[in-house]
Amino acid sequence: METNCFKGRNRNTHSVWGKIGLAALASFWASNGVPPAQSDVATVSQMLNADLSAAGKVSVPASLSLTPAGGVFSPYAGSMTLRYLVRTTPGGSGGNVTVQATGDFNPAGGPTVSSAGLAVSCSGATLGTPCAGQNPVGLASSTNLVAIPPSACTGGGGACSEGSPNTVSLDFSMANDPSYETGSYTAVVTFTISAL
Amino acid sequence: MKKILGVVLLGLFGVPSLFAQFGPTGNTSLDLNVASEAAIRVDTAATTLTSAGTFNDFTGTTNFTYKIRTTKVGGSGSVTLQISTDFSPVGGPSVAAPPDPADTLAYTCGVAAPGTACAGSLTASTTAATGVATFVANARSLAAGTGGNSVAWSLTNDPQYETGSYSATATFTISAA
Repeated sequence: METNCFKGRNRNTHSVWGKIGLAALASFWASNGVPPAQSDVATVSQMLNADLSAAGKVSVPASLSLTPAGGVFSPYAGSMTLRYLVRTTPGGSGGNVTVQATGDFNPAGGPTVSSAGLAVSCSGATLGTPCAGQNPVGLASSTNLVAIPPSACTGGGGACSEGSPNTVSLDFSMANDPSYETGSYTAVVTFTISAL
Repeated sequence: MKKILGVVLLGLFGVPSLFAQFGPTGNTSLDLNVASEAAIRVDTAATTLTSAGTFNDFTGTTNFTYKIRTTKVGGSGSVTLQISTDFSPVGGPSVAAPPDPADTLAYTCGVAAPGTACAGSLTASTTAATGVATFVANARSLAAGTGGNSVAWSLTNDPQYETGSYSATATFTISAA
């Protein structure tokens, strides 16, 4: 009886300590990421698919100052660089960088986009074909700045352009009419890139 | 040296990018400051002064076109003239040293709006500019310039002038503030 009691107590004690040990090991493994010391090695292959669709992004200066380009009453002019990243699909139609005036000059009393004949010319596109000549910039429609061909991509060389990002120089100009009241005026133009 | 280098590096890292982040679209504000400006064009290449009768004054007209934009508030403008080269050769009329102090080169003005013509008859001078037109604040001409302006000259026909051909140069100046 006594032996049985002892054996029973001993068995119970072993079971409790064993559970505590197993729990501690599990906790340790869980917290340390150490796998159970087993000899099994499993190899799993995972196919990675990347769907690279056409895409484009632009970056432009927040502001551009237009100043008289020459003498008295000479046109206002200013130059800026537009930067762009683009990828077009081989079977697509390419892409475009465009500009549109999204806000007329304000306050009133000065030039307006239409009356001042706001225009832009393009040069030095590092990818695609820049616009030719002087192109009017309006509020009602967008003006093409760079035509990007199919299968075009920015950076890396080879089939893509060498440099990244791509750039194009833009020269804005507008009339300096004596009828404008003196003061400071601001208009907003929005550049958009599309890629197919 | 270390301090200098540190300052330079801080300066370089502190320069903000002029470009915005890349995105499908980008906005740029076009900023301009429209200032007061003025320009003048004399449309009469050479003004010939002629006398209509015996010892009548020599007269002739010089036409000009102006472009002007004066400051919206508190601005003003003017057109003036000055005889920059007196009559030559000597022996004839003179603005600076006429044979008779009563001999003058006088003129009247005709000026289209927004300008205001000089009042009455003024005497031209080689030493000072004299008025032709004035402009008030926020005066603005036509885009192509406002024409139809003139200076009508009148030069005393003094018998003491030796016969011959004489020339002087009048310089017109326009200003805007």
